[in-house]
Amino acid sequence: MMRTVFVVLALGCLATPAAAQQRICTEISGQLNEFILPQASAPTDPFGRILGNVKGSLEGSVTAFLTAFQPAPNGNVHVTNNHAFATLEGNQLFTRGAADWVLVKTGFYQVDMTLNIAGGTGKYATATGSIHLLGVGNNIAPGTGQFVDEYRGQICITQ
Amino acid sequence: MTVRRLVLTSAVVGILATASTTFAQTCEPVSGLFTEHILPKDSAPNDPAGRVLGNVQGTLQGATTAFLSSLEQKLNGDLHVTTNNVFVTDEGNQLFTRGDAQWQEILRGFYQVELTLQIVGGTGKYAGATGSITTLGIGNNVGPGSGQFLQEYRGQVCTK
Repeated sequence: MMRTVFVVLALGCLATPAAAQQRICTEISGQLNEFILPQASAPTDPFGRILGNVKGSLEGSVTAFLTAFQPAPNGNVHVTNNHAFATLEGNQLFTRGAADWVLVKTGFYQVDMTLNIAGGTGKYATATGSIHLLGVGNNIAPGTGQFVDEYRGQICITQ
Repeated sequence: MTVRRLVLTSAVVGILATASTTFAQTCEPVSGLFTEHILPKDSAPNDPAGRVLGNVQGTLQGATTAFLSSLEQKLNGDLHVTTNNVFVTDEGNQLFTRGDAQWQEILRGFYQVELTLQIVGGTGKYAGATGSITTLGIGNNVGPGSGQFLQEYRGQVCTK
């Protein structure tokens, strides 16, 4: 009888941490308005940096820099990037992204980007998941231009 | 002859007055709050002294980022820094500034911050902007790649 009680107690103790470590995934969506900063505002980022405003689930601000820039002969561009979001709530979210920019006309692109979540701070400290963005790049050139994107994805955190 | 001369003089004065009005500078007060987060090294690997990303409320509502262009530590723990700040407003205008700040150490990693930003132009309605902004605030848990600044700003932006 006592042995049964111990087993039940032990199982209860094991079950509690498992429940505490539950993974919760949330759908997110919204819009990004990103501006390419002039060289003087990001002099050490070789491919430049953007600063933007975020609406929707990640409402707040975003900055990003390109980690690779590969133009194709047809004018399209493949890039990889590193984004950081700071929400109005005070949480940060970090991502690693890859994007294809399809040339519409010189300086104008259709953008398809996937951001893989690589952690964060505050409620996003354990975050994983991914975010898909579709949008346009207008008047894109070194140190000038704007990206307007719609985002949709899933963030998973441990609770 | 005198009448023609008078008409010509009036016309020249009129043109000069119009041009003067066109290029007159308008100064507007700005004020509000901003919260800046120090980014981890991975998010700003090319900025040796670090970078912040923040949210701005008030007149310049939108986003801000900045990096330290110099950092000088004093014997008493205080810091003198120079900065390069950019603001992107929700309206889509950019404002560029160069800053000079004193961080007075309260306790390790915690500072009282006084920053003066000199405006050096912008885009959209801030193209060619001048003026200055003073901020007062605090730095909490400030260290390489982590920490936060909470600041109140007040100043004047002049545009043509």
